Amino acid sequence: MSCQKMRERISTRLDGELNQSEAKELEEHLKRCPSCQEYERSLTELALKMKSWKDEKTPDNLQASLFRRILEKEKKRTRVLGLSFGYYRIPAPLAWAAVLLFAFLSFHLARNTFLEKEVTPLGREYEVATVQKEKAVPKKIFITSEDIVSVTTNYESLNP
Amino acid sequence: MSRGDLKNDRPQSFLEIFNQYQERIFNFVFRMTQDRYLSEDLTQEVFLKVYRKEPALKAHPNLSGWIFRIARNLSLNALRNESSKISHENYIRNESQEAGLRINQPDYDLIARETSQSVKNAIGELNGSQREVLILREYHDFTYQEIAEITQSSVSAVKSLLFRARESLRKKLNNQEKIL
Repeated sequence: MSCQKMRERISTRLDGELNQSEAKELEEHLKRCPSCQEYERSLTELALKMKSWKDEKTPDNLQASLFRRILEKEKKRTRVLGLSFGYYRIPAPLAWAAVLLFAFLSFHLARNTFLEKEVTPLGREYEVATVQKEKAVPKKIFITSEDIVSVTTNYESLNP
Repeated sequence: MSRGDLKNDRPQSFLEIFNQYQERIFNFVFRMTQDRYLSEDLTQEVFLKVYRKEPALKAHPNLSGWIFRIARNLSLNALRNESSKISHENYIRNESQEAGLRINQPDYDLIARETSQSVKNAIGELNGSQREVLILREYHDFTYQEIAEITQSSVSAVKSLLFRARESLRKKLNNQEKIL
């Protein structure tokens, strides 16, 4: 077994992750390899040197700054939708698109309902009069949403 | 924060997570980037992400690994984005901060400080993947399996990276000692 392989095992043993059979082979190798023994010493020394880099103190204002950022995000979210749906908010462009679509559909629904109520009686009279007097109206006129009758149909029934 | 907020599940458990991990995450990010200001900002970023996901975290099987993975990803991104900046400017920043600390610590061991600085410089010269595994192992005591989960790699890759990181660090420190 090469020294290179054994040195990797020395590193692994230092972390307490070497299995028993590998550890046994390493021990055998170390008994007869001064170079790897020296390597093991150098790695132990390295570990000690690394420990000289102590933990830093957490900045005093870390928590305050973080909570300020969270609050800013929460406020921003409230301004966009006026409602809270967990942390995730609907992106503003999508929200505005939904609002506009809703407004558009509502307008058309209201408009159709309004027109049906107002136009239907006049439309019926007009259709009957037109068919009876002139007996030829090439375009279709819709009467109501439930009872859609075209002038063409009536014309055909009157003139088989 | 009001008493009402403290009774609420969300901030209460978020606070617990924050208090438990803030120091570890800050130190991990600091050792990765070696910039206090950037580390503070990135630590906040980590906890903002935790805050967003907090309701789902109560049942998370590996909370620690998950938080460290976020910190690791943000640190590596920052290293990539700021690779040109993390040099002179940050060196001056950190030096001035440390000078302030030295004034407050007159008995500070000069040799220990020099060793610490050498280690810091040598770790700063390692590539991102070697640096992260070494820091996770040496300063946070994660197992190979845990490191593999955080870095999204295999145990054998972690083992190999750690060996190469130590080898590289050992050589860099030896070179520094020869120069001194």
